[in-house]
Amino acid sequence: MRKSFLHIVARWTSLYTWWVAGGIIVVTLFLGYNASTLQMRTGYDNLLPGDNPLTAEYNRILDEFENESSIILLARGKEDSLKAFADAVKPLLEEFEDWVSMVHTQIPADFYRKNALKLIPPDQLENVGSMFEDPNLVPFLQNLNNAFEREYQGNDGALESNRDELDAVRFLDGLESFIQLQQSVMEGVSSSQIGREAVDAITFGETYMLAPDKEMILIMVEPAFNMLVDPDFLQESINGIEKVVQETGEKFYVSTGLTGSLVLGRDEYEAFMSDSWNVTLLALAGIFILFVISFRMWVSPVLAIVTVILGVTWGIGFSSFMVEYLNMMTAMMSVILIGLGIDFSVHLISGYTEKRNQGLDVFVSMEETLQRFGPGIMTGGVTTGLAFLTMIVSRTEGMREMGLMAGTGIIFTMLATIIILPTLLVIRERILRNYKKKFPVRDVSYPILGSIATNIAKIRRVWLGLFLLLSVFLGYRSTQMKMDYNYLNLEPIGLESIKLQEELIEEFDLSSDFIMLTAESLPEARRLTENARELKSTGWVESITDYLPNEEGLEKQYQFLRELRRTIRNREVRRQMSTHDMKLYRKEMERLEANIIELQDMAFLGGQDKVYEKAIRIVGEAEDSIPRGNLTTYINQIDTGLTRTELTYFQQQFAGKLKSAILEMTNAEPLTLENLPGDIKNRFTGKSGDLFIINVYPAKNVWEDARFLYSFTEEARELSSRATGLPPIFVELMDIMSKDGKNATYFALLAVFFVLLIDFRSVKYALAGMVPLIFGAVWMMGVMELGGLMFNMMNIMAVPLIIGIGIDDGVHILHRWKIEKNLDTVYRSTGKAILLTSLTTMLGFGSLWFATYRGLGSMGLALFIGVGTCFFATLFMLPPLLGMNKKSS
Amino acid sequence: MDEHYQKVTIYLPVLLTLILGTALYSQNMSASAILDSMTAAMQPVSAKGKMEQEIISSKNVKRVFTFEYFSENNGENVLIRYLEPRKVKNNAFLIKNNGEDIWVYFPRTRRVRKLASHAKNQKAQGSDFSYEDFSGSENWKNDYKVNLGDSGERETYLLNFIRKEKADVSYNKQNIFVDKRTYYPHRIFYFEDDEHVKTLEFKEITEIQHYPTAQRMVMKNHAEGSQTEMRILNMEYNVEFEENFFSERNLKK
Repeated sequence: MRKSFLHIVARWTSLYTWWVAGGIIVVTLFLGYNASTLQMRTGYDNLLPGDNPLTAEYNRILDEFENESSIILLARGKEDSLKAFADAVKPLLEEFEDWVSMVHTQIPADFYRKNALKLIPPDQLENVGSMFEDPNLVPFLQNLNNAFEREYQGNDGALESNRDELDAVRFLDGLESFIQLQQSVMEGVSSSQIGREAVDAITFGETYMLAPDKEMILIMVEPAFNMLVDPDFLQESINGIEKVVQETGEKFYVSTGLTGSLVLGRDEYEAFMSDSWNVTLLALAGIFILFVISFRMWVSPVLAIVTVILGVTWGIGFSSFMVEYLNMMTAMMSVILIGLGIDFSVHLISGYTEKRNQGLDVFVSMEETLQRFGPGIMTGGVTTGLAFLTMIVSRTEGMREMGLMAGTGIIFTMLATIIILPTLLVIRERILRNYKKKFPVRDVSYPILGSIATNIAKIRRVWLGLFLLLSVFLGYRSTQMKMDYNYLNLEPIGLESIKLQEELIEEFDLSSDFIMLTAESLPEARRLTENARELKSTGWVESITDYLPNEEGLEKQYQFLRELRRTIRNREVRRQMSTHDMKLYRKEMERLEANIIELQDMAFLGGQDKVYEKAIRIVGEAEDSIPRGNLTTYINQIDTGLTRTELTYFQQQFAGKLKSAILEMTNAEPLTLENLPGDIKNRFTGKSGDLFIINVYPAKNVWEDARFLYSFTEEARELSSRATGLPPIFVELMDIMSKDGKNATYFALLAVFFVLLIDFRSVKYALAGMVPLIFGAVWMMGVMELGGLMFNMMNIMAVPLIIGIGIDDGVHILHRWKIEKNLDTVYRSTGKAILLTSLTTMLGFGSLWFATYRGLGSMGLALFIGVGTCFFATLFMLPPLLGMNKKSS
Repeated sequence: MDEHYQKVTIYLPVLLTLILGTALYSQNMSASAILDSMTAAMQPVSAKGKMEQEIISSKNVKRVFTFEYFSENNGENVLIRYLEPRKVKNNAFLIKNNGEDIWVYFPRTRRVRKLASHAKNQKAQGSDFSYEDFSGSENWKNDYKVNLGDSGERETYLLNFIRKEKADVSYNKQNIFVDKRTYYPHRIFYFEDDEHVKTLEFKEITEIQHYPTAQRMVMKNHAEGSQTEMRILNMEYNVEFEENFFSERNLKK
């Protein structure tokens, strides 16, 4: 049947050339159109099985909350410029309703002004609340120092968690502003806002989300879309937001940048789009040059390139019936198919040229070529295709689609080559009027390969021993291969979004790669939030319950608030500062300085660098020869005799505002979900109203340490089986993929063996065909390990892929061997073809190395090595076996 | 014959109980004897020296401190005074009663502060050691039940410590691998809620005044991915201290 098919192809392409050409054009147009409809979708969640609980939960979050994460806008500059920039950019971005749903530049100050005291945990209520028992400046400072000493002094563990550290920084930040305001009054500044600003500073601190050094601001842009949108829309919207941000930033002399998963998704999409063209063109150019050098002709390489382009179009066009999107693994399908598909053309052109150089005419040469090389090409194509198709047993969506597309793609490319290339070759002969012409006999084989194979077979025991030793060594090395869990190593180098992610962690202890937990009730949300904060791997946790007091402590809280209200209402705001008050004032300011110094020392010993650095701005540090902290400088400026007027002014402004602020904060209105401000409520509550999200940020960069990534994910999963987000999705993906990779490899080996068994109808030949494949795959992993490479999510696929790819060389050699039974002839002729096919495939995969998306590069490199080792295994391991076979027969 | 058989069946369980009981008793004896030998070997009555502490945080940030170390009563009372870096020079910690009472002296403010009692279970100065880890050998005897396990190694005994009920210590279990020749520990595994959270390794063991002494002690924190190494720069044992040397007042000197 195979022979009849090949005979028909030879006959039709030779006799009905133009009809066949017309048919090819029609099929190409149809499948080409379908191929062009395939869209690209980035993101790791697309690679997991659709029914995976993590993906299901992720999709539920997308559905309920409309977006899974905010776009993070970071700007660097001077404090005043940053605040002005934030105020300016917010309305500008919110004008684009299709892109932006809301911009958060400041914490909700009005909400805190009304409810700050209600949000203090019951166990801290007494200590923190006692600060506000007297609004007058001196008693306030006394109470502040008492509370400070209770909280931070005598408590080495007060800064132990990340949250404690950030709270301490925030508290110090407020104190810094509080001192600055007093200093400005001392310098003669008077403003009706000073009292309120001072009260805000000590009640909830800075309202803008500034880094501790105040040189960077964080703005959360809540998008009106999520990762599931059309990738072109994603690109357009992020680019649009970026443009507005950049233009506004320039006006305020601040440098700006965007990060977050959506921005990274845009960057990946752009990288894939440019890579897919650049790498494909590079692969084609490399293959063309190799063809020209090895065949010493121009036209045939052009025909081969045209064939492979049409073949790949057929392959991808057919695949479009089976998959909806290209994912990160299948994005470079065209390069893979070009690298593999060109092999079929190499064999056909090599055979056809050989036959024409033997003096045969076009029809006979074509018939001979197809009959002699066609079975090998078909077996090779089908075996490779089936080996790829075994990947559909994978649980990962990405790997399954990869198997499906590569499997059907390669079979279609093979069929296309068998039909298209002979047609093009005949058309060329017709145009050049060579149809009946016979060429002089010329030897175009590679005798060196023949003599290598013959010499190896002669002293096969020595060579076999040596190669087995090498295989044991490389096999051992392959077992030492490690996994790289850092997905950032797959991303393009120098991406601004990645650089900003690192700055985000460094400056704000936040990561855009966090875990999301969902709760179906407020008590569940509170339990999950509290437990998440106890986890060792957790840095920061944000939840709706941060804005809602715990009902269990409500009675105690309202009693405290009532008492505080009563106390503060009876307090009289003093109009004057006495000499005694001035002395006490100075004493309390010195006490405050000492408290901050001690906190700073403890922070230094404990490695809480942010607290230490923040404290430097207030009290300097031990090595200072000239005091540089604003509090130290201020205390030195206080002259109890001369500054009384200014301080009295500050006392009047501050105490009055503090009293009214406390009265406002001690209101009896219950704080419930219903009366929460919309922007807080919507951020944490799903559309249905009864689903709450809790964001759990890691204590450090999850991608720097695989063990930490695993413990962070594991702890969150123990907390809730519904924990999702990029870290757990990535861990799940890696786990499933390494299992899938193994399973797919075993299935591919089985499939390849059965195809060989059917093809050769001999166990001996089928086993011989497996030899270069198995040794080639082991050598590949050994060489990778020796080269310092690690398995990652992309290149792990190279193992099952190489089973499908590496089988070709052996199949072609064995097919020719069955006919010739002469190692020299087989290797000098078919050896040349497999050398060329290996080189072209290596060029195809090697060109992936130049992809900006490094994950593709790593896969390309692994396959480059694999194709090379499979060729060497065919050259070195098969001749001794075939030599034995000849002797025994 | 039958009578004899009956006697054997009666006596056999009694005999087995006796044999097993003696074996178990002797094993307990042996564990506590090893513990006594170990505490005698690793904890001289008093010590004075200079040490270096290198902390590598989970974020891979390295910090090095040098401090003077003084201890008495087999480690019951410890005084640590920082020498370097300059930022914390002369900051001092006094840890008394096996970590129950801790005072800190801040030279920049010239104030002494007492740390809260629960500080015992917390990290000591940001290192992977807790104040409890510094506490003396009495804790092992008072707060834990000890038995002998199989270390799986020819050269070490394995002492298993199980927290006694109501004992105020953070580890529910400790495993100590003790050298059979010197009775000096090779390593200690610390468990919290049965999870292996930290490992302390004793390295470069040499003799100082006939006491085996680890020149390097490395505490690895498995939960946080950080580690702290203590290096002995010099050490002297069985030192006579002035009265009130381990007092809050002396912290300021």
